[in-house]
Amino acid sequence: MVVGSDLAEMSPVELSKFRLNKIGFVFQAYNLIPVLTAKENVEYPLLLQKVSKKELENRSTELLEKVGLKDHMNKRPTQMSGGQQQRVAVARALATKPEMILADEPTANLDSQTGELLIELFRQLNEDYKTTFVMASHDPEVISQAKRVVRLKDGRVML
Amino acid sequence: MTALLKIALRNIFRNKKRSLITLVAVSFGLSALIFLRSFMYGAQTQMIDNITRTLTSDAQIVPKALENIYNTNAYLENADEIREIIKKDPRIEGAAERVIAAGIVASATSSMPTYIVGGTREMEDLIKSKNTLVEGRDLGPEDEHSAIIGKKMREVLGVNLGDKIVLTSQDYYGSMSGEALKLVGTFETGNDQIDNGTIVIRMATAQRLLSIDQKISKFAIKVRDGVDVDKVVRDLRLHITDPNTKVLTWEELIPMMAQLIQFQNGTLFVVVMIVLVVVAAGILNTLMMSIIERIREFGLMMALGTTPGQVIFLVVSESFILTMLGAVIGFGVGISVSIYLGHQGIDLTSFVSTFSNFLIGSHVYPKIDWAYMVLFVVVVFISNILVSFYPAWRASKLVPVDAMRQVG
Repeated sequence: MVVGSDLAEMSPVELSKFRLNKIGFVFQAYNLIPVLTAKENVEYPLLLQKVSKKELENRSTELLEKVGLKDHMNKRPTQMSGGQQQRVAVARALATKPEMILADEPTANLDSQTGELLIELFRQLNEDYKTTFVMASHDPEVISQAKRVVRLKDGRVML
Repeated sequence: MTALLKIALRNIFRNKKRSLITLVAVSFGLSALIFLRSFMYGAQTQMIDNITRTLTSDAQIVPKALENIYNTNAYLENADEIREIIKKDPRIEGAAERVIAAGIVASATSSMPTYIVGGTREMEDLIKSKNTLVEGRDLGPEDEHSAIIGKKMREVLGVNLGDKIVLTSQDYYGSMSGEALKLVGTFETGNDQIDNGTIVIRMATAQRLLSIDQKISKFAIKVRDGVDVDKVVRDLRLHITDPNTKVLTWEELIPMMAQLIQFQNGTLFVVVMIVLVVVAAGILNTLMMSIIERIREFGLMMALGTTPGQVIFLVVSESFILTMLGAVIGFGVGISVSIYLGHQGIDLTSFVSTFSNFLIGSHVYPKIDWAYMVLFVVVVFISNILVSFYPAWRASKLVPVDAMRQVG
C-alpha cells in the first residue's frame, strides 16, 4: 500500500494516473525532458492533469521563483547547470502538489553548496506544503537533516 | 495533447539529419508516384485520343463480321434504320459513315495490299476525326477519282502527288473491280501499320468500286463531352435489335489497347506498393532509432504520469508530422514537375518505333489525374501512420523503472 492505494492491483493506466496525482520524482541525474524549457518541464505534469491555463501559468512561475530560477524559465536543460536542472526537477515534482516525493540521490551530482541549498529547499517545502520527502542518499549532510532515517545494507534494512 | 504535440514537433527538429532523410524519402516517394501516374495518364489519354480520333471514334455500329477490326468487306443491311436511331439520340454529337474493304494498290513500279477506307471529310469532321494530312490536300466532294494514302505507302509505291495509282478490290458480287485514282495527298498517323497500309477514298468512290450501291460498312459515333459512352452504347443495343448488327465501344473494337491500359494500371499498382514499402520502412527505421535513443526519456515521461496511450499518441504524432511535411513537399514537387512537363512534353523520339503502334506519338505530355493524386497522399499517410503504431506500441510497453535504468 502506498499513499492509501494497492499498487499491485492497478492497471498500467491506473499506475500512470497514480504517479501523476500522488507522487513526485526527483532523480539523481535530473531527468528533464530535453526538448522543453525549464518552465515547460514544470508545466508538463500539470498539462497531463489538464489544469487550466491560468493555474498552469501561476503554479509553474511560482514554483520556479521559489527554487530561484525566475530568470532561467525559458532555458532548455542543456543551457542550465546541474544544480539549476535539479531545482527544475524539484519544481516539477512539486507542481502537481503530490502527497509524496521520491528523491533518488538528489544531491549526488551537485557541489556541496548547491546540495545544501537543495535540502534546505526540501525542508522549506515540507513545512509549506506538508509534502513527504522520501530520499535515498549516501550524503551524511542529507541524512542528518531527515526526520526519520532507515539504513539499508545490501538491500536489507539495518536495525 | 498540446504538450505532447509540442514535444513531438521538437523531437523532429532534434535530429535534423535523420528527419531530413525521412522527409526526403517521403517527399521523393510521393513525387515519384505522382509523376509516374501523370506520365502514364498523359500517355494513356494521348493514346485513347489518337485511337478514337484516328480509328474508332467513341463507338461503332458494325455488321457482325466487322466485330474484329481487322475484317473487311462487310456491310450494314439496316443503315437507314440505324441512321434514324442515331438522329434521335441527343447524346450523340455526330456519326461518320464509312466503307471498309481490302484491296491492292499499285503504282507503275510497285504494288501492295491495302486497307480501303471510304468516307467523307464532312462526316469525319462531325465526329472530330483527326486530320493527319501532311502533304497535298484532303478529299472534297469533287474528288471521286482521287485518293489519299499514308506517307510511307507513297514512299514504298514510289509515287508523288498528282501521280496515278490503281486500286483493285473484290466487289459485292465477288468479281474483281478496279479504279485508277489520282494521288492528291498523304497522311501520317505515327502508326506504321496504318501509314503503310491504308488508302482513303470518297464514300461514293468506294461504293462504286465495290458495287454496293448506298450500302455502308459502319457508323463511327462520337458522343458529347461528359456523356458516358458505355450508357449510350447500352441504349443503342436496346434499340438496334438486328442480331447481325453490333454496337461496340472502342475498347471492344481494340481490346488489346484496353488491356494495355489495364496492364499499365496494374504495373503502377505494383510500383505504388514498392514505393510505399520503401517509404514506410524509412519511417519505421527513423521512429525505431528515435525510440531506442529515447528509452530513458519515455521512462521518465511515464514515471511523471504519461499513460501508455499518450506515449502512442506522441510517437504516432511524430510520424504524422514528418509524413505531413513530406507529403506537402512531395505533392508540390510532383505536381509542379508534372505540370511543367505537361506543357513541355517529354521527348521519346528514340523510343517511337517501339510504341508507334500504340499511337502515343513521339512526345508524351504528362497529365494530372487528381483522383489518383489524392489517393496517393491518403495511402502514403495511412501506411506511414499504420507503420508507426509498432514502435509506438513498443514504447508504450516500457516499464518506467527499467527504461530509466538504460544508459542514455
